[in-house]
Amino acid sequence: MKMKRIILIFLFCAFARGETLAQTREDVGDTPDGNRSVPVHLLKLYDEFDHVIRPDDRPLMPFSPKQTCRKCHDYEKIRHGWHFNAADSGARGGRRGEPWILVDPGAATQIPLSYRNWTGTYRPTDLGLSTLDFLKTFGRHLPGGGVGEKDGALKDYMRWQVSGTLEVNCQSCHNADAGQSQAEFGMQVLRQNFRWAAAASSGFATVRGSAGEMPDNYDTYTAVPPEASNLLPPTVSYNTSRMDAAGRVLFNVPRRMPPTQCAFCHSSRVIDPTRPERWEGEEDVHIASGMLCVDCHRNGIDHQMIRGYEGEAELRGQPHVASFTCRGCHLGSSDEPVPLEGRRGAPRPEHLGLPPVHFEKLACTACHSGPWPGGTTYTVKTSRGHALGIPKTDKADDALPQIATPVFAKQADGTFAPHDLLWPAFWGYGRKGYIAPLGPDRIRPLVTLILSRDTTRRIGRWPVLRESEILDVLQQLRERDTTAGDPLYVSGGMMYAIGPAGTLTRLKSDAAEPYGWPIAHDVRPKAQSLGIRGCTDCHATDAPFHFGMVKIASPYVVGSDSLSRMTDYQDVSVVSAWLFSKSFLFRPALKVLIILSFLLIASVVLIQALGGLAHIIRKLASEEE
Amino acid sequence: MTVFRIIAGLSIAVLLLGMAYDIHRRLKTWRAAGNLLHRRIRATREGGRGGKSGRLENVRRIVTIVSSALLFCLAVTGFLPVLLLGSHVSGVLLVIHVTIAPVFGIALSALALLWAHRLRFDEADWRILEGVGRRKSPGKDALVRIALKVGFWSALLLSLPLMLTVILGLFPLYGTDGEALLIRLHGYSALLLMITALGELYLITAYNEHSTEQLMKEQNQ
Amino acid sequence: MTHIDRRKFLGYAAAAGAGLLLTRTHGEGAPGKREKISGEVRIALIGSGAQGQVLMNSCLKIPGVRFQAVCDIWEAYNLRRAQRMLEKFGQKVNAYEDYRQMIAKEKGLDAVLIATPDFWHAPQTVDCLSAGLHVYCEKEMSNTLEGARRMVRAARQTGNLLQIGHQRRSNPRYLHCYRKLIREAKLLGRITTVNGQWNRAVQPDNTWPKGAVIDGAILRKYGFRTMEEFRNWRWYRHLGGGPVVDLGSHQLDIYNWFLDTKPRTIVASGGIDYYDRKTHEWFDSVLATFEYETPQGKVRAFYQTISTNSNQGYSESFMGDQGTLVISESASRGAAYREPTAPEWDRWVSLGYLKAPASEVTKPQTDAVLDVRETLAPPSFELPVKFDDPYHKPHLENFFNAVRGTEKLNCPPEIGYETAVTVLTVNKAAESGKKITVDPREFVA
Repeated sequence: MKMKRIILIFLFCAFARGETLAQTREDVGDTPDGNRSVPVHLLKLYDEFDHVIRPDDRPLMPFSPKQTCRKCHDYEKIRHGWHFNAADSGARGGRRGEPWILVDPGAATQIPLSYRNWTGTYRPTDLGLSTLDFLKTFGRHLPGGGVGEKDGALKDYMRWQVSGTLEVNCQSCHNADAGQSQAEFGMQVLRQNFRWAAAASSGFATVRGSAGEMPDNYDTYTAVPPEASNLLPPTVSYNTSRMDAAGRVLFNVPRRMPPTQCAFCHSSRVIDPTRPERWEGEEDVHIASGMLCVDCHRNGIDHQMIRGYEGEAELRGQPHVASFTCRGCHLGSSDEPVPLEGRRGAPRPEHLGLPPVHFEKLACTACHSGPWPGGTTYTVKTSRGHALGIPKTDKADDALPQIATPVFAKQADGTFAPHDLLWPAFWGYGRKGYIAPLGPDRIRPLVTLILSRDTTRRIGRWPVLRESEILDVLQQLRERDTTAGDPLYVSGGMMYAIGPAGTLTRLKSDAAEPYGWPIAHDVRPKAQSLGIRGCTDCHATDAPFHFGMVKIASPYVVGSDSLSRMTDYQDVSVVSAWLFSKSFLFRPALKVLIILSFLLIASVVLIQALGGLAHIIRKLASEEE
Repeated sequence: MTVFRIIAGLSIAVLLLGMAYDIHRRLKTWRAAGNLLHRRIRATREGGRGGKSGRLENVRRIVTIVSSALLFCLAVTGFLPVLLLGSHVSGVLLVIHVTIAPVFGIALSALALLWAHRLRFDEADWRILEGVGRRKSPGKDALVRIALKVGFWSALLLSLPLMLTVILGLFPLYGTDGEALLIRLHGYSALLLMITALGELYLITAYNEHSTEQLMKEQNQ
Repeated sequence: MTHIDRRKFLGYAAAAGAGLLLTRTHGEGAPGKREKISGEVRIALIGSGAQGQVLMNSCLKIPGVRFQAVCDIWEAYNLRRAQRMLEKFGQKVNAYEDYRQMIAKEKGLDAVLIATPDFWHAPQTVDCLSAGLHVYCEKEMSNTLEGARRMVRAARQTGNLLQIGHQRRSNPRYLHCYRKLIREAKLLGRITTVNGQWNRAVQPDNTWPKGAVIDGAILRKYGFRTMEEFRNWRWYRHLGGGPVVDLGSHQLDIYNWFLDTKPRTIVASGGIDYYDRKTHEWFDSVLATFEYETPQGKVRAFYQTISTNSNQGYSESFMGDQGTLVISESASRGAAYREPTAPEWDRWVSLGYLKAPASEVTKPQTDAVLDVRETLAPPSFELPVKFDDPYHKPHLENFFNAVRGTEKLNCPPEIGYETAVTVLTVNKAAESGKKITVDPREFVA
């Protein structure tokens, strides 16, 4: 009995210790002890099956960021962070942001997609895109994880076996090695080399071949099937000079990541004909002053990165997050027990002569962010929209999608802020107030067929559609499926359908509304903020803020629809805006009149006061006498 | 903003309640109040005798009415969004407010010029004040006359910070906090001015029958 | 006399009736022979490696086929992978290491797919046929003629179906070429020469994941000495037949099919010229010539399979006095070229046997002002048959339909045996360096 008890106690202790060890295994890197130096990341490499990689292995496997990094970091927690959780059920989308934009000129389609529940976007599955389809198109600007680790559609099962899982690539953000190449990561993802992409991007490994070209039954451990022997399977080789005697590699993991890590996915280029060269423009003033993106966009191990918009703190239930907004950093709040504004020496803005109503009506970004507005909006190219940074991407200024910027629109919180704006264009079936969009693959053959009838058409960026062609396509769609609903085409802010008389009818619809997302960068310095030259920067009848014209880019836009006014997006009457702006003409007169009235009234009061004083003096004098 | 709303709301409410109480105490019924108002309006219309002094009296009346109307418009456009919505004046209301403001300035200046002598403090007023100091209760008419004068000069005095805060705010002299302070001061000045003006108008309407005749007599003398 | 009370009788009757209702519409028939079935065909897979998974992938796209079991000696990798994949597609299967256990335990199986190394084909096929199962066996039929012979005889004796995996025999493009172009249209005229090749780039040896090594005892139990042998069995003499058997059997089967005969003589040259002899026992390059005696006359055929260069991939060319047919399993190749002296092919185009050429080549190839050349590049008459399915699907469909009794097998064991004789003789010829004359009787098992 005694022996039994001893054995039981021994087993319990062993189990408990094992459990404890298991619990702390991933906490080693996540629970800092306060030391501010950076732990040296001299690491062994592990493959997806958690086997150590040795330079003489056959075959050489690509290292897995998940298996390599999770030795010290809680990968499970990390993979639900902001950059990875778009498709997680229950993940908060927060303020809407830049969508993925599916463009297919042949299908006259330009449609915003997102796995987040942002109003105005469609889920990729709505267009019949599986997670694999999504990655093949947009994975180039993802840091891995997310849908790359989710169960894909059954039809893609074999392809996922060939490509492997697209794990979170910690290096995308955390490896500051000069050889770390997110462009290479993107290229590998486009080749469907998911298993290999992280290694390829690391700077100390080279990946050749393409999983996308391999047949369905291709296996990493088996040579290429003989019928495909001219194709190159994905293989990895390591620069062994980067490995020490124990096969460990030094990762350059700084405490604060340089902005270039973020820039690959978060770059934009405003097409300004007056400043075509990059050197003619400026970067964000924060970066120019030596700050890093991560100084504001912080997160803990949960990787719930602060986005920095007003209201985010309330949404997250984390009040201190408010101190990372523009206001929080530059203006602070007297409610805080400890002052938090002025982080990193953030200057307190003077805003000389700016009435407080502006802080009520405008977001900080309205005056400080994005390009200085012109009479007509510019076109902007973004990393995610235009595959910036990927070799051989289309560098033309008019490459699709065409996004307008800056558009001063009203946000959900009622303030005006600059936005990037995209007009959706897509075909679909409408039923009970909802439009089910058609994926480009389904509609392209039909559109191409109908457009090809006009052999004189020059297809540029857009196949500019004629009314008769739209009608043709809609009629064909109706014939193909009479049960799916009414065939519709959305373009240029309007929806088109077949009218009762068989002609094309224009309708207004929420689905046709442009999709806009607020922009916060690049932040311009004080001397280049709106209002620096006076009120008429915005309050003039030719000022772009209210009266700028917004270009509508879409395959079918009726002449007068090609431009719209800024006030259309501001919930403001153009008449009242015009009147108010006009009143600034009389401001000088107003000032003069009020000054004169003040002086006059003050003189009258002074005279009376002096009279009263004289009376008191006389009274005192008479009493004395 | 919240503090201002509370103070403004309370003070306007107190004033209106006070007026209502006084009307009820003196006239007992609203009908009587309406009749009184009707008489005052008719009296105002009939005005004084013709001639140069008659024309001047008309001008006084017109300027007073116009100033009052303009002040009312300014009060509505200025206080409505602040008190009801808790937000700054903007949009169409702001356009109206800033359009009326200089006109009100002119009207107030004219009011000051036209009524300054009539409503100056004279020896009789000093004696009444001295009497009050000696606990000698002045007659109702005298009290009303003094109150009218005090109200007039208070209004003019309050219009100074009202205008000064606007002028200073229109130039890039003050930053965020300074502008906020100016707006607050403008608001409080406007509130006090409005209360004073309302009180003045009430006195003129409810109590000034005799006082006006007295003032007319003084003028004719 | 045994008294059966009414209640018992009703019970027995109900049970009998239920039993009748629950069985599918097929009878057991004589022991070892399965009758034709209708409805769902229940199958098992023996050998779930690379080729087994190719078959699996095709079967998952064929309605009316359901996997019931899968067997592979590599439990840690192949078996698990296959099982996981099948479950993903909604087919829960029992997994086995030993195929004998599988055929003993699994009830209700109709057929088995065999995709194991060549040296296992014969024993597994014979055992499965004897157990009353239809068999689809991957090519090459066997690594020995003796084994192939046993398979043919077992099929005959049991009466169960045996399809050999020369999948081109069911490929609609090849069927079109044989039936329409060669037999019916005689498009090529008198075929005089055949060329074929399978050029394959240098390939590293197959490997295996760490932590998934098969226990030595199991390897030895199934005839492998090492993990290296297990993964690269094709290169070992006691296990496979090398590239010419592995790859050449497909194309040499086509030679025999399209020419309607078997080779009379075979000359071959081959050697282990490139790879490590320690791990590559078979020839990495083989060049062979064949002589066929056809009713129209002699046909000389050439075939090469090399493992060091992938130029031009794999294809077969049949050349006659009126045209050339180039065909490959790859859909990118499949066209006929008319000889300049041959009659026009308009008729065959109008019948839909060929696609009209895209355009006649009329542009002069030189800068000469006047191009008076008579001989221009021959126009390409592409095959009108489109085939986008996995390569093995039609052949498997043919097999399953034969199981259902609605079709005949396109590659019964007798045909497979003829091909086996052809390819195995090539190795013999390369070995001996001599011209081998093959007696036609040798092609009969």
